[in-house]
Amino acid sequence: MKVLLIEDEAKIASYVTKALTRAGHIVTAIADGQAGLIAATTDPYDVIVLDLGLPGRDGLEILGAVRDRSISTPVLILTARGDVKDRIAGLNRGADDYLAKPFSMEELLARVNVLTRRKGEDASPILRVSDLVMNETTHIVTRDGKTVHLSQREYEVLHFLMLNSGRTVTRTEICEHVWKSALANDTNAVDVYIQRLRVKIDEDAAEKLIQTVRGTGYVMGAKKP
Amino acid sequence: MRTLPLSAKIALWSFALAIMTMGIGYSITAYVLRQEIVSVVQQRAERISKEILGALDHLPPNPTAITKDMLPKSASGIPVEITTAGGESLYRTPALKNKTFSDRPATPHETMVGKLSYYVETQEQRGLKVRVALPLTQVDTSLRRLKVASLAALPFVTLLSLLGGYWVAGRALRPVRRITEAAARITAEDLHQRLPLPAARDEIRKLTNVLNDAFERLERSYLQAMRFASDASHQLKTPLTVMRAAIESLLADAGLRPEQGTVLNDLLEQTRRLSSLTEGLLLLARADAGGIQAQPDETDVIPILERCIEDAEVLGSNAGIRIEKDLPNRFNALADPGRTEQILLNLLENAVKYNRQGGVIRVALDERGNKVVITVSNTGVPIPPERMPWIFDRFARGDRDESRAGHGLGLSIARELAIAQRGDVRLVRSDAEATEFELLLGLPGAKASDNPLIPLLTPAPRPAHPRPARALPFGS
Repeated sequence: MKVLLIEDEAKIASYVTKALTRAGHIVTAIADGQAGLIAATTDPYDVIVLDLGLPGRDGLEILGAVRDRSISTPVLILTARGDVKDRIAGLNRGADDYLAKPFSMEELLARVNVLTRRKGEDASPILRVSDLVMNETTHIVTRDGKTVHLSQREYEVLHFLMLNSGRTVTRTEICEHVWKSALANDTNAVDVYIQRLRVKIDEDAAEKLIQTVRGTGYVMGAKKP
Repeated sequence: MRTLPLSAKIALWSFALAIMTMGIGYSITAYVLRQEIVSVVQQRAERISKEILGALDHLPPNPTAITKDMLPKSASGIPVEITTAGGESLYRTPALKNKTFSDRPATPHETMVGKLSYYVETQEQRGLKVRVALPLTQVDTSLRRLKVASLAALPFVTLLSLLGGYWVAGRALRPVRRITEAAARITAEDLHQRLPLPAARDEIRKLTNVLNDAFERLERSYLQAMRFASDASHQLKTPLTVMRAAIESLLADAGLRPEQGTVLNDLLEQTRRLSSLTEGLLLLARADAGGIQAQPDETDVIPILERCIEDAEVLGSNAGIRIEKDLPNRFNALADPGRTEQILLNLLENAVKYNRQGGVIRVALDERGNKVVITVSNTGVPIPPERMPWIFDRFARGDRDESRAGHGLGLSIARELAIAQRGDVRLVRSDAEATEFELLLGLPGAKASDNPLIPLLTPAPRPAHPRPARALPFGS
């Protein structure tokens, strides 16, 4: 997928470019608002990742100009302004998604993937890892055909693990995703929820799906031999 | 009188003034009119008496009798009495019958003859004393007419002064009303607006200038605070994003030793805390700069509560903390779900953090007036009374135990978030038995005016007697 990145902070741009490139995207990074606007309105891209605080031209202005020209390329906004009002302003101007700084690169990749997928096929509400199945619409989870009863938080943690199956997720990421940074304290709660999920999902099964990556976090998926 | 609008007050004052003016005008008119009529009558009486004396001039001195035909024409029909200087009567108009003029000194004066008031003119010449009485009925009639006319004018004066006063006041106050309306429109949303400056160089213009200056200063400090929040957010978040990206890219690197992974994870967790602290500080800065806005919607708060209770259970499991809850199956309140969860998570996290080993947390939901009250209490060490008033201040904590995690912004943020949804967070009590906080939220269907923004720094009301806990064991 071709991604246009308009971001003036060189370091952030470089990390985002690296992460997107590693995920198989072709990235064009532009640091200036005016140049970004020209690129966005002349070249075809699959996704535009747009920083709001730009020199030359404000991100919202670029977004407006792009949408005024009936260019429907999905736009993911990056911003240091985490205010609800700014978010609404961005979404009203035609942004497809919104990511507040500081963000996790994995989160960014996941959002970009969602945006490129959204354009194509319909997203199925079924998440599947081995014989563990989650329906995102009905919130029903089954393991080997048997329903697993989960509390709200357990569901949220498992959902995040399944969305990122095969990839190691850190406690910090889980914490942020499930509690939106509201849990000020510690990430010990994450470990407790993982423990509970293990009891409900893995205890009776031969194949354990939740793996601990020592020192890093957890990964969802069958243990590789 | 205090509750009357200014224009009504002015109308009443103008009415009072009009009545007073009318009263004074009436008195002066009546006095002058009387004086005028009396002086006309006096001149006529003087003239007639002189004519009589002139007509009697040819008589020999000391006449014994005077007949009517000796008198001039002008004297006919007028009560006349002629005497000698000694008082011996020489002639009396028959109409006088036995009435006499009071024998006052021989100067012009008024007197009463019967029921009518008369003006009596006395003239003396060559031993003859002539008295002529002219009726003053004209005075009474004129004064009566004046009174009638005044009374007839009274309703018109009343109406005119009231309406006129009201109209004039309304006209004079119109610019004030315009200023009031314009000033009310200027809110945090559009502080750049200014009041229109009137053309006339009067008091209103001065007032407008003063108000505009005040708005100018307000806008400047508001913008400054907003700019600070925005700048700080950019300045702080950019390095955080870079740090985070760097740590994550290292973590993604395979072939990392577990100890290295642990260190990097700690770093990552610290950036998360820094981000959360930054977010909290910015939120408070925004709140100070004119409030954070939220659109509370009708939301079932029970699932949110259940989630947070589950977290509290998890967090408190090591300390053997038990949770008792008394909650309905569903309860709709006016709430912003994300922010409400943040508030409840903070209250419950505190309830775990400050509880004693094996303590209890009680969560209950009640309706009070047009509010829903969610109570979270714990059995921890009570907050010292001298700290209670400052418990919601930034970086204030219930105790000085710095070993406990948390940055001390939680409660002030929780409170700002609650106020933004037209609710509040309060400390209800903190004693040996329990420390109890409550979250107040609006009820659906309640009008916005019923849920006024609770002003900042309102001291939390504390009941004199602790309320009995009405919590049921967990799970029931």
